[in-house]
Amino acid sequence: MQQVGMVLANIEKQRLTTDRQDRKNSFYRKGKGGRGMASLLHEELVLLDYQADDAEMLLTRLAGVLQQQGYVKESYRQAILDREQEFPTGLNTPGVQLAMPHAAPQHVNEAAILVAKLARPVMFKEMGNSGKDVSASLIFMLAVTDPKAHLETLSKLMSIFSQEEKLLDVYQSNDAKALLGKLSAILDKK
Amino acid sequence: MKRIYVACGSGVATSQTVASKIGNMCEDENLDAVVEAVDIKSLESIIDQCDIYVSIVSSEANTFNKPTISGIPFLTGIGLDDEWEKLKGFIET
Repeated sequence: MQQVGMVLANIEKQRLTTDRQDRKNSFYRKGKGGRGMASLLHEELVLLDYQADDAEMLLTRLAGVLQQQGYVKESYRQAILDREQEFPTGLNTPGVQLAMPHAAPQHVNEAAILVAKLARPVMFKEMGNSGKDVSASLIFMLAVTDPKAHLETLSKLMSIFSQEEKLLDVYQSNDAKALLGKLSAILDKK
Repeated sequence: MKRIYVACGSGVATSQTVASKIGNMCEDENLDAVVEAVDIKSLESIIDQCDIYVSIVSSEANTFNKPTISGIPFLTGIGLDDEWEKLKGFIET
């Protein structure tokens, strides 16, 4: 009985050590690479004062940014436009209205979230069946490879959609670094 | 136990998130329900297997003979209380 207890205690000790090492390693990677391994946020994908005349122009350009950086395939652009037409993604969120265009995983190379703060609002249609307009000032364009793997991050992202204060705080960032910092504090929080 | 389907256009992001949120809310209140995210294209063939349908897409093409609520309030928080009460009512009947 005592022996079993000791074995268990040893296993527990080993587990704790491994946990610590894992934490240390991930911290190291973060420090070294400047971003967490699992993060879907990237500074080159945060765009401020972005200008576009309408949703189609906006989506085409933003998809182009993702494609240029290698995150998505060429087919992503059309997939985004088609999906927005059929299943709009605007949301009349409190404080600042937004849209979260996205497309099926087969058009994506590497998962990422592009964030665009618009110079002027662009009209989207509301998600769901209301048919209402959404005057979006903030865009989260999602490139998702595996919905289940990114569920936690996406849930955290969408959890701020209902929190006016947090959403406005992210929106009112003056530069890309500040916006990234605020958003990653929310998304990458363990 | 009640089976709840959440459907959005691609089953990529929105339905997954809403399903997880509703799942957590049910768990918090000890409601006997399982929540699954499905994509709209496969919904028609499996709709009979669910008890409650949470819709995030245009209703015109997708009305089923099932108790239905809107999933949008679970994203924006606007009108959430009403929709949640409605859902709870469906779960408890």
